[in-house]
Amino acid sequence: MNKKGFAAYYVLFFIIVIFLIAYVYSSRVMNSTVNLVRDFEKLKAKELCDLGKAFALNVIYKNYSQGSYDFYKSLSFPIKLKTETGNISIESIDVVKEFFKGKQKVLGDFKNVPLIEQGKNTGKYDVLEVKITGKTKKSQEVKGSFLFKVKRLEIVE
Amino acid sequence: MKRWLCLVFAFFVVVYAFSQDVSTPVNFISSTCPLSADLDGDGEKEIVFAGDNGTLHLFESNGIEIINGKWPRHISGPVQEKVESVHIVGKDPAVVVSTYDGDVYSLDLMGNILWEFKTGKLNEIVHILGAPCIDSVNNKIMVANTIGEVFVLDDEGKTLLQDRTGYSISTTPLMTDMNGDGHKDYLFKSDQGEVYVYDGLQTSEEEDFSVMPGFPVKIKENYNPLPYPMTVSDTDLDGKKEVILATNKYKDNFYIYGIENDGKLKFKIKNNSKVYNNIKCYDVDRDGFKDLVFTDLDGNLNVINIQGENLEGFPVNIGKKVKGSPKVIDVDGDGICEIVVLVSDAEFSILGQDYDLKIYSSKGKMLSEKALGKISSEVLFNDIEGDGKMELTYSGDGFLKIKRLDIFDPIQIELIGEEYEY
Repeated sequence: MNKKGFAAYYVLFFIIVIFLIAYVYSSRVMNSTVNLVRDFEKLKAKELCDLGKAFALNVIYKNYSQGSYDFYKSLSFPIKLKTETGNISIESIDVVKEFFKGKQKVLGDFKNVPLIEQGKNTGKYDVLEVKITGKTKKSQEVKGSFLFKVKRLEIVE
Repeated sequence: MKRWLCLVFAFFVVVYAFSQDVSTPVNFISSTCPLSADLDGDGEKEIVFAGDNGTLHLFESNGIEIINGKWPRHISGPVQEKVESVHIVGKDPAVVVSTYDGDVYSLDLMGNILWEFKTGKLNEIVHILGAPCIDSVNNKIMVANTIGEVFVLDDEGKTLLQDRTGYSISTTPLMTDMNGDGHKDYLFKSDQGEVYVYDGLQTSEEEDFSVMPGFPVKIKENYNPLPYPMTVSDTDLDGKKEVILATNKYKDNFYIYGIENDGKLKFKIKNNSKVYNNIKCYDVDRDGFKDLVFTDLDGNLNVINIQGENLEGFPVNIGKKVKGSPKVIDVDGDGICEIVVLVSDAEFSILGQDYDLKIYSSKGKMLSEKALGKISSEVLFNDIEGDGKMELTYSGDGFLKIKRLDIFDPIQIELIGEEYEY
């Protein structure tokens, strides 16, 4: 092998190495961009979930204010809402039969439970579970599950 | 350090003071409804009380009486029903009052009398019925006196219309567009039980009161010694307004009449007790049709539809004497109305009776009860502070009082758990 051929071999070798490094770097950059976009979409989907939570809260409050304590039984689910950033789907609103408080599993029918505050019976409460799915236009989806303690105070001022 | 502590203490004192209801000692007794309006255009409302001795008093919204210029201002006699205001284009609003002695006054913020109008001739004894009726769109003021004379004035006190109806008027007149032609029509009730509606358009062209076709409507049970105002409302939202009024006792029955703008009977509802004060129209059950809200002398709060059926949860026995008409207000801003009543079981006193404020939900459930103390004047429901929340302004027991209309909200929601699945 003459000197020129030896140099060409080294040049080729370095070019391949550089290409390999460039490929690895660019694929990592591409991956993190994809991840970033995906995370951003997830964040948007979570925001949609939170929007659905606020909507459900409003529905619960208005119905309870009018004395409709079983309103969710007559609703047909899912309730679908469209926004500029995506779709919200209220999958269900129902009374809770069990839930975890920390690591402890609490069982019971959380409907018309006597509400005891400062040793006095001040009314009743229900615990409602609202399940919501937020889906962005780029099909990223976040599911949310929310527990609301809805108090019905019966003592007047 | 001490200075800082003093400043912090002073801050909390100021915050506490502003969060409390206002109670200011006053040296007058008032039995009329005060006015709350931004008279000087500074964004804050002033309050005008009319003392029963014929003196007008001006207050800041924080309850401090303004004693400068010509305030407190003495006029010829006790003010009728309530203090009104008229907004003059390009100028500050002016206070307008009518007196028992048959005079109408307009005053500016300094207490200067802008104009005075006498409805009776010299040595003629006349009284004005109720407060001046204000057409705030066209800046017109209408008053009627006990000898059946009606005057429509402009905002400078000049007579636009004057006519003698030929009968004695028994209630506060009204100005409202009954037939949707853009002109305010004039409504009166005679002491013989007739309801008159005069066409505003015809009247303005002929410069004489022109009775609308179908009127007067004679209601045989309508003799009413108390001048309860009529109510005008489009109860079924068909674009035509109805005149709604309650009658006195007739063959052991009491009736609520609804008369259409062509004089035809829209509804006639029997009630077991005499309707107390005028009827409010509001779509309480949100079915698209207005309901009738009123109290009666048996101490009931009634809400009925125009078919005469009680709404769910009504009537509610409030069991006491009621002051004024019930108010239908969305107190808590949730889009659903509440009904507010003032009730008392106390004996009559010149300094006022003790009243309780009761708030009922649209389903007839009592939401809140609050003792207001003695009240001699009528109670003004108004957003004095401009914060979007309603306040009550009244006088009684030697005090001017401004109280916030707070509600007890029986529904409280807590978020006790949340979980996301990504």
